Amino acid sequence: MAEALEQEKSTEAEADQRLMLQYAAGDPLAFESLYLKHKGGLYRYFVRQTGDQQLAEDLYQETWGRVIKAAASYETSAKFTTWLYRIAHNLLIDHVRAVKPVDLFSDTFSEEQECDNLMPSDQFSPDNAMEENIKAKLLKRCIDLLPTVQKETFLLSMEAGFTAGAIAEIVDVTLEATKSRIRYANKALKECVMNKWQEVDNER
Amino acid sequence: MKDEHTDKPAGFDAELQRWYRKIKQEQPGPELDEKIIAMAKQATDGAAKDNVVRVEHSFWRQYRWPLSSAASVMLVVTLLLINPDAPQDVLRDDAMPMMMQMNEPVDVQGGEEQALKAVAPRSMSVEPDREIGEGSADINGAVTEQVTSQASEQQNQKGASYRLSDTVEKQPRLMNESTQREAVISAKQALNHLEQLVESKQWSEAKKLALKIETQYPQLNEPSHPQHQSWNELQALLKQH
Repeated sequence: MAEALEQEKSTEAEADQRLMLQYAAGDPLAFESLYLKHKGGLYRYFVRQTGDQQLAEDLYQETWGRVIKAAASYETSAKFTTWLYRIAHNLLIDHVRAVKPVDLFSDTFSEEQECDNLMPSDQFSPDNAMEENIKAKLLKRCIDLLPTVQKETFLLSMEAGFTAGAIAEIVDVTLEATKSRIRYANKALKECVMNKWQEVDNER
Repeated sequence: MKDEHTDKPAGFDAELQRWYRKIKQEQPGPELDEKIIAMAKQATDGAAKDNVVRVEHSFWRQYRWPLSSAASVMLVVTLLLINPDAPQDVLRDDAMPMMMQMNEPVDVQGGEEQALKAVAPRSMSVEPDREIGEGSADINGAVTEQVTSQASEQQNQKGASYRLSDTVEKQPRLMNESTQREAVISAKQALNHLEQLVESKQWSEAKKLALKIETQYPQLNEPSHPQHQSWNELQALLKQH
């Protein structure tokens, strides 16, 4: 099962590389295929990290602009998604982290608003599906609360399915540091969701 | 919660992954999509315009090497046909460089200008309307036959005239100046060889060569010959041994 999954990923990576080379050779349809395949993940990578849709769209567009410009110099030795998200990461560093201090909790989250919005309606019984949906919403808020570096690690894993090694390569830190971020992010998110769920459950 | 293998996706809890999938998946707007795709198309169009070198297959470009070669050959042939005498002038025997053969410097008494004109190249020669006997170019003293040979060039030209000293050979001799020049040169070479033999004291060989020179170059006995003096000196040396 795991081997089949690995093979599928490898095939996808090869397909991406082929499409990128076709685009570099002058085929715009190859770029379109590539874009449609990766647009959602990259867009959410920016939106969920910046919390500012306009800024996220600017960075998103700039990332694809750089991909277009650098298409001729694209090397197949680098996996396309790794290359794409490395460009995105560098842009984010340039545009956001220069303004915002690192590891600052997002200020877009309002504790009161969050709890009010997540209160289950009296009209619906809190069954499992409802619980899952509420926890998903809680997770979204908890992601906002994560330190920036942990948030980025989490989003890279969730949106693009990167390994710890690939994330380390993209954000330019050691593998150990990346693994540490994954551990802390995992623990922080679970605790956050469970705590908030407990609060919601108590208020119910 | 460990990710021991870097080739496996970074391990977050399955619950977290499940909840994350339930979050609304934002997508970029269609306008943004169109803008980016248009940007990509524009880039490929621009690259195509910039990089493609269109090769024209015109007749002149296709056969440029044969045509240029043929044109060059035609040019050379035409030049040769227009100027048939040009190569002969270049290769003419008169134009060959000659060795200066003077035993002593030319003693010019008066009319230096004319004397210089007499030995000057053809392009610098004197006016052609002058005639022999005008006495405008009196060259006295020992003007050698070398001067004579060069002067004969001037005389061969129609109208070129000047007066050489009494030691210069008269007209019939000048007519055969080319053969004489060869003899002079050969006689000098023979004398040089003889001189070397004398210097190395190979008397028997030297005497044999002297006899040969005497028979082959009788003109060496003439006082007007440029090598006459050295010939006499060598003969005197040979007689002493």
